[in-house]
Amino acid sequence: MHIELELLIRYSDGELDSRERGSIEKHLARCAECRLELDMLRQAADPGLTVNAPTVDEVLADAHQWQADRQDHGINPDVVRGRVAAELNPYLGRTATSTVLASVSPNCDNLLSVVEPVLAIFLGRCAARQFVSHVVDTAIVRI
Amino acid sequence: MDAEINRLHQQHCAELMRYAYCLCKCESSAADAVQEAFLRYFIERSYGREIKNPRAWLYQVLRNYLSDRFHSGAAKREVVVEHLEQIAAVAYDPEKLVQNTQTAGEIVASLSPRELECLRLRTEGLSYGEIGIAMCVAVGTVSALLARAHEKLRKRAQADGSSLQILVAGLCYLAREEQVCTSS
Repeated sequence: MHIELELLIRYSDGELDSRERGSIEKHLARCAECRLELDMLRQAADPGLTVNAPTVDEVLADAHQWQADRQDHGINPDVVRGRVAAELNPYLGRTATSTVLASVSPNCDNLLSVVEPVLAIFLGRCAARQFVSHVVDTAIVRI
Repeated sequence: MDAEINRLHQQHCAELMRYAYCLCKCESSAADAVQEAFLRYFIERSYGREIKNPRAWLYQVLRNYLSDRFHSGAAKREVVVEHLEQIAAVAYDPEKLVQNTQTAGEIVASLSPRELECLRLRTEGLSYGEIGIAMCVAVGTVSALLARAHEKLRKRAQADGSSLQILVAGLCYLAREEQVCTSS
């Protein structure tokens, strides 16, 4: 087991209390991989390392291109809803899936915030998070 | 959503880029990975995913993405492209490639490994979905990579007064030849 990246980031940023810090340092003393990870986080925080990052225009162009492609392929909220239902049915059953998805807005802009807490009840938070990422891949990202 | 991305980019893009670079030691791959992380953020937020700590989330996505790529065939194929310039100097019929090896080398240098790979697979007739599977990336990324590659080639073609089709065909021929060389 390794330290979660988020926790390591908080440690690197000096945001942990002394008890948390102590347990992290205990782990770091015997785990070379986590020490390496911490070292990379510290390098990332060092503005002395200059590499050319993508501009915000490039980042937004990617996002807009993705949206345009979906429109071109007719991926509308109903399609996404149907795909998500197909992913959830085997786990929740048709009735429960319909009940959960009934709370989703017509444009699906609350889809993941509705689905993830329900899945967390059955699977636990960590597994629910991973499952939602899988749903995003299969039901949302795919064209 | 654009404003949210704008803010996050301003606050974290430089450090994410440095982190990605520390992981993969390749500036263009790191830049691709950072774009992928922001695209993923955009997609998931558009569908209402609650992300309490966007900075840590972006780090995690970046790390997962690069880790997947290190272990995928796509990552191994990137080595192919690094040698393209040398291959361009080998005695292929230049008319079948691009107008000259210097041009080929310059264009290859301007494309990221993923852009070139995407272009090659596309010209082999693969769909966006199939390219996504082959390269272990989202379909949205495929279209973004192709759009970027085409834009670079289009500008180059305009500057040189040459045909875009010839440039694309030449580059893809180069990439295919190199792949054959390394797999044999």
